[in-house]
Amino acid sequence: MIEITSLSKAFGKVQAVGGLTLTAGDGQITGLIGPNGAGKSTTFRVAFGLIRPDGGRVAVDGHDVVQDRIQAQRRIGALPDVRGLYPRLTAREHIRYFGNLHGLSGRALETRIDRLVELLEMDGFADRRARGFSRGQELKVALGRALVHEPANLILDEPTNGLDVVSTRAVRKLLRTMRDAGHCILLSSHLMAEVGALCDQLAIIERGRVIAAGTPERLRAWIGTDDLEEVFVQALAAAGAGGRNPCPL
Amino acid sequence: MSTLTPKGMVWPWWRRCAVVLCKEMRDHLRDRRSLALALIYPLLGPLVVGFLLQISTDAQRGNPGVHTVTVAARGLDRAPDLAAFLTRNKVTLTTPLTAEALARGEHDPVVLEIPAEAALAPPYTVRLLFDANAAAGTAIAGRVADLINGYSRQLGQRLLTARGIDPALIQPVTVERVHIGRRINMTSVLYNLIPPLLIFMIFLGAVYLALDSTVGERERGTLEPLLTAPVRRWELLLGKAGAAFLFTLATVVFNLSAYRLVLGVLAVDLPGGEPPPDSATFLLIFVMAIPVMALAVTLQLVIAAIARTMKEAQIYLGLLPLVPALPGIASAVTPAMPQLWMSCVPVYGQMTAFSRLIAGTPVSPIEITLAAITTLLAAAAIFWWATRLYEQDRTLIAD
Repeated sequence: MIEITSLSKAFGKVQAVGGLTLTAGDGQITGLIGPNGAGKSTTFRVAFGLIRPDGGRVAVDGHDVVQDRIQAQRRIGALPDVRGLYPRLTAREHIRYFGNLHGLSGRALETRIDRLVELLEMDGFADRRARGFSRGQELKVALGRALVHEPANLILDEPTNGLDVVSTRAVRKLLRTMRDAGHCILLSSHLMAEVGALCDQLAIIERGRVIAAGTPERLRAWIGTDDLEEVFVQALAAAGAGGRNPCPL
Repeated sequence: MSTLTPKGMVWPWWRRCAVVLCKEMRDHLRDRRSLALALIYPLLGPLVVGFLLQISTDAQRGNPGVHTVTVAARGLDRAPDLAAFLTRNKVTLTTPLTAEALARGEHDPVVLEIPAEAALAPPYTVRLLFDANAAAGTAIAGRVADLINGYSRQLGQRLLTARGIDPALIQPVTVERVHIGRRINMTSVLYNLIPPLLIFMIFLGAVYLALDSTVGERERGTLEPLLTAPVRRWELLLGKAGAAFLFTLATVVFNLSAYRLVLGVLAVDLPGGEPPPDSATFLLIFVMAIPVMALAVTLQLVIAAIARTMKEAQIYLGLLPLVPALPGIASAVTPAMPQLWMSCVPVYGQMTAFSRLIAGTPVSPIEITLAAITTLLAAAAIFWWATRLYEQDRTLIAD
């Protein structure tokens, strides 16, 4: 479970996140959606333990990401928006490196890597160096890296961005399987069809705070449309106009 | 709260450091740029010293005396004794260029003018015309001036003797300078180049690896995913520093071996030359250089933390060799005898000790120990500073 409470973070005069509160439960896929600059990546960076918040807290399975960072990070599978691969390491070596950093080694780790290579359809490039990988291939390696230690909680920034249709389906299937196994999954996406198809809970954020949250069905009912994109646009418009919250928390 | 327990053991810190170190070594051993630098850079110092030794050897073997110089002279017939003296001392006297040759742009580097009164009796003044901006002309003029001064002293002594006066009376006190150290020759001068070249090599030898594994990692976007792993910042930095240290260590071994090889071949048979430092001396220098390598790596980490991009880091790199050079520059301006406190100045302590070891002067264990302790303490303090920098948001996030 990931609990974000009154989170705030500013960079100079820019308030990136301002009092964001959100809970992503176990056995659920929670989607975080918002316009560019709404504070999604900053929220994720705090949750990853990369940067310290100015106020509020993020806890992963009860472990504060600032006070107890290592324990929190052991329980997170992180996919930042920057995929960041080492050009001279192979896909398999990337996953092994992160497995080692999580304290995995030996036969168990190699078996896990083989399983991820199969699950993420990386057979064709698993032993190739990462220089020249397509965006989709980079994403698969980054996903493999995030999943190698079978984390209880996944925080994924745009997990299907750059993937082809077949790979996108495979990733969605994998996420659903993990959800059904009890994992907590918090993801962001710009694709309304994706969040509609995948997420059990949605939170729309704007200027660093949640302006609407609930199940996709509840949000659709609130606005009175089946189109999630329309829900998103109307929620933003209402928040910008300072009017009624279409779907209060 | 999740009932799923995290996979993986909680390894001890050194094992996490080792994981990072092994990854960096594997990554950079595949990097041709790092390898090329690691192989080429250590050869530069030995090649420069070897090249200069070779020139020195050729000069010593080919012409054991001084070189003949050529000077255009005007009014030679007025001082045939002086002309004969100069010729005996390997000065070729020629006729000055004609007006036509001068019009064509030719010129004599040095012209000796002997005045008309030289034909009568001393004293008289000769003039040496040369361009002080031209190094060759200045060197020739200096040599000829020394010879003429010598001739003048001989002539004065002859004249005084002819008048029944003891020539020693005109110089009642003389100074005899006795050099009690090793003979000063070209080889000694060249050996003195080794310590500063070695220090520069230590600071720049594996710098690409240190920067690429830190600022390069941030620029590529690999630092952010890496920092999501459950590893403390200082553990990550120590692993990366360890890899850079091992690369530096390898380049120093390569560098000192190359010095030993080059000097062993070129300096052993040099006529009048000093024998090169032996292997034991180089081994001691290597051991003493280890704390300097640690200091160099930690400074590189700090540069990597401060710089936003590799390009910016490379600009700072231009300043990095100044750090070890500063104490040396200060001592050049205000020279002082070696004292114990100098061993406590990181890098400077080692550099002066290297110079003394190469010159054949022993260095006491207390000096070696003090230099090692203070340098390691400085390295530890700078490493702590680097870890603080890596805790800051601006150091971690590329944009």
